[in-house]
Amino acid sequence: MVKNYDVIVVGAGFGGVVCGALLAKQGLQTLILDKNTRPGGKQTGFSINGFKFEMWPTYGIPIEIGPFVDAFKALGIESKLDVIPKNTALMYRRPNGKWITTVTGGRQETDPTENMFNSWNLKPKEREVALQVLAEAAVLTPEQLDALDDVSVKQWVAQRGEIPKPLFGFFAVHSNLMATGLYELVAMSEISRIMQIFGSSTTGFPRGGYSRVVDDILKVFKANGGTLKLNTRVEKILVEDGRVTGVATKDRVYKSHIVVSNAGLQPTVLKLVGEEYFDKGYVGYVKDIVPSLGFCNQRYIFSKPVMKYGMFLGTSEDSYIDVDRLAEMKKGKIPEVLSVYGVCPAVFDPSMAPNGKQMLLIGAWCSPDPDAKEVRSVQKKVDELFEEMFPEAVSYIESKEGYVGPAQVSKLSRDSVLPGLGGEAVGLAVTVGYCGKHKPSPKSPLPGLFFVGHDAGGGAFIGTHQAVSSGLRVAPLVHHYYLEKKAVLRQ
Amino acid sequence: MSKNYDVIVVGAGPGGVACGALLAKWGVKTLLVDKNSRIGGKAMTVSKNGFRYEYWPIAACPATNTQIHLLLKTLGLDEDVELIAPDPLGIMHYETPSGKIKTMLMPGGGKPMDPQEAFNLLGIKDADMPEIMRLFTDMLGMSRHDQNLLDDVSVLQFLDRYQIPKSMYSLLATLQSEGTLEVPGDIACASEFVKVFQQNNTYGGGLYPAGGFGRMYEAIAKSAQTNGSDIILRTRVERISVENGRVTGVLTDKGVFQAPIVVSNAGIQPTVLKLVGEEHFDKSYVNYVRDLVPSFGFAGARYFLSKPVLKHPLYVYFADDTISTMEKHLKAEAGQMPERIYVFMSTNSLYPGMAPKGKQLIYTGITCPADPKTNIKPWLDKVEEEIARLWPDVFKYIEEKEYYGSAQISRLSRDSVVPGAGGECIGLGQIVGQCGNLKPSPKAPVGGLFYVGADAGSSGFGNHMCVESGMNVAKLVRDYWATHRLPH
Repeated sequence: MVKNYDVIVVGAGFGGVVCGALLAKQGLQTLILDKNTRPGGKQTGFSINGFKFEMWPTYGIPIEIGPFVDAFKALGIESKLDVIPKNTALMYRRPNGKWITTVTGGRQETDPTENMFNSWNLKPKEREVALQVLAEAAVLTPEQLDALDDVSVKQWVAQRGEIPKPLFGFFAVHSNLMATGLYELVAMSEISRIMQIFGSSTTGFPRGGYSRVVDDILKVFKANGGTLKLNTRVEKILVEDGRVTGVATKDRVYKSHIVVSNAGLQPTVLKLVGEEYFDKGYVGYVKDIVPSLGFCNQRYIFSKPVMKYGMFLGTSEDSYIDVDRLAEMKKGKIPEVLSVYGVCPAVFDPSMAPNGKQMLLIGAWCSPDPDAKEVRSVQKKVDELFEEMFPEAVSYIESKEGYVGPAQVSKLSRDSVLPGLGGEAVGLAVTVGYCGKHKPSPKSPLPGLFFVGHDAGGGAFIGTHQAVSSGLRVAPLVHHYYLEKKAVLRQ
Repeated sequence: MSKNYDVIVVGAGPGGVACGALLAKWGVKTLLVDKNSRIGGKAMTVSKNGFRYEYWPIAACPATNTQIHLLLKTLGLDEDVELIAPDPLGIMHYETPSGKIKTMLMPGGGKPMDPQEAFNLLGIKDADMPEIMRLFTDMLGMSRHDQNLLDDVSVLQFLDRYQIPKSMYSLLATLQSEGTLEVPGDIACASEFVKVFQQNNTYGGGLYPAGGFGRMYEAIAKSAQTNGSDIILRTRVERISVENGRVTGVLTDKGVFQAPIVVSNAGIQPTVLKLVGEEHFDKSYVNYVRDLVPSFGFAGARYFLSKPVLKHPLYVYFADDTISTMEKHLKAEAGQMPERIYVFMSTNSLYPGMAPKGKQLIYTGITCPADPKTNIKPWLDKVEEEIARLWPDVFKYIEEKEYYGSAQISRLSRDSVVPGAGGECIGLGQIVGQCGNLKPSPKAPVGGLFYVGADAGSSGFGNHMCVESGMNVAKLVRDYWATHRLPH
């Protein structure tokens, strides 16, 4: 007998599980399907040889405010959200090659600019300009933020006139780092919102890693009657008479009048549902959404706990990626300095590594193309920069492993349905025209089909954060839809 | 009679006549077509055995300083149509958890309710007052911008943000929400709720035109005729014709009428899916229209009494457990009526000329599914059971009873074109996600096609919302006509 579910969620990424758990808690018969062997999507947790880790460096859960706190509250497990703030480092490479390190505890200092300006080696006059520009970027009313949805970081910076080179580098680099997009394309509103969130909350890393967060959410899901099926790839979202009716996997059909897709906007519309069910204008719109950047990662295993920082960022005034540089990178020409990002989970939570050892997840940004050719060269550059940044640690590297790039990311998360896409590190919609008020609607034009995850429905801020925020916002939309359809269609 | 018009208005409900009359006044050559034999749509007034009445209880809110006043003034009808704001409006009955029924007089004439009296009725303790006052202050002072932030929040979700006692929660969720928005609080839209609460508590409720609502709409239609409009009744529009993506007129059972602009008061779903036809719209628009959720239907009774039983126009009853939710409604449909329901009785027989001397007409009713095929008997039985319990006197003087439900509403107003729709008592208006800024646009994506009435063009409460839509849409249509008119 075919069982009817109230809601089927396709994909157990953070958006999918938060949304699914909230709906199950509201009493809806909810099924979550995922093609992978573990839940968590791009933040899937692995456990190998006593190490617990994600596929790539992931960090940045605000402790006092934000969607993680809200989601755990809404699920009634507020006390379980255990986020550890520990030493993090901002490392800056001066043009002469010298690295300057500023250590923070994950906590926002009273005057963060002081250290930053020192590492940038700014003169008093330059400090004045820099301070004014940073204030302009961070202190904005909601209306001003709305207006910046239509302004790229590059345009915004250009309007500021002559500014110190390191400050320019700061905005360009953070377009890559925080918004995971290109300097010319990322909306300034995203950068401002991110600066505001970092300015108002301590951030940290969850005890037990991100997989523990997913497990906590899924416990609530299951306790409320939710069904999770892993190793189950959804091949098609079924539509009859212009209305969603369920999903098909390789060997069976699951029925439901509501499908919430966490599989990405583009794969959902273009592959799982199929273009023929949408207007030309909508298909054109979906095809045209610009993806985020990709990320190449590798794992260093240390024979000794040498890393002092749970998270570090290595940047310079020139380590950003823009449109031209990305094109050059694809041809194999890697810039002298890349922005490097690393997370060492055991610094936050010692149980993440066997005693006396450490694992560092480290990498840099690249194109989202699953066929990206630059991955090896980027990883080589990361190795070089690591040696510069942490010379004392190099001799303790026991092994390097787990090379991943856009191809592996795509395999784990969204299918590549358009040329050059699929391996994006966070999702779509980080660029002008696709974020803030222009963010794609989580309610698709097809009745019963919703999107959840980074692509739609969430607010600004970094990746996983947006996915959780989307789950929180999409769940009530879906719940109302469910109630309304029950009222009308007696479904 | 000429068969070429500037504008054809399909349907002579409150929105249709308001829109048509204004266009006529502005010199736009207008035709008003309706399938019924009388003007007024769901608010038409009929006569029988010396009674004049609407088919179901109709009263407008706000009661003073309204768009209805403004429309009558604009049309020069403010001397002809007298608007009454009864004072007092009626009696509120609250049943305490121990089963005691307490009462309170509801003021009218545009006067707000005294919160202290309500607190006494509901047995509110001093400690709970600050939170209730916080809620009331938030609601009364809420800006349009903040109201729009509630467009996709339900009434119950909104009320849950405050820690108020059950009795006050029920007063708001039962009387102020379900009693006005006609859908359960978990799918009723909080922005509409706040708007109606502001109107009700600033300008009062219970507005009624002397001679009946239908008489007022007839007077408005008459003014359209005086200004050169044609009105054809008993004529069913079968098709709104479209050529090259643009409206060209209507096809009726009495012939073809041509106009480059058609304003439909027939409901957005019947208009798109039946009168125009899906093939003239994009898939996503058809999906959107088909997916709009109608309000609930309404089932109830008219009692013709041999003796006046009611002293005031309105009597309402509620208790802590009369809050309705979707879950309760679905259980009711499955045959399990809730123990306690919100009940009201109302009459228009207190107004001159509405009843033969010494007699009275009383309405009662309850929200039920909007599907015209619903068997409404269980709802009617429950209402009568409650009337017998609360106001047993009524049954001593009944000379004649008439029942009504979603089927009658649909027959008088919109056709059923999507499952479960047609008999909605208000329209599509009050549901979460389709109100305020999210309300359907009155301008359709087909050139020259507009919607008027509860579905599009305004917000708020029943008749007032429809008249306001008529006024707003008339302005849009006039501008469209002025910019798109063809050389004659």
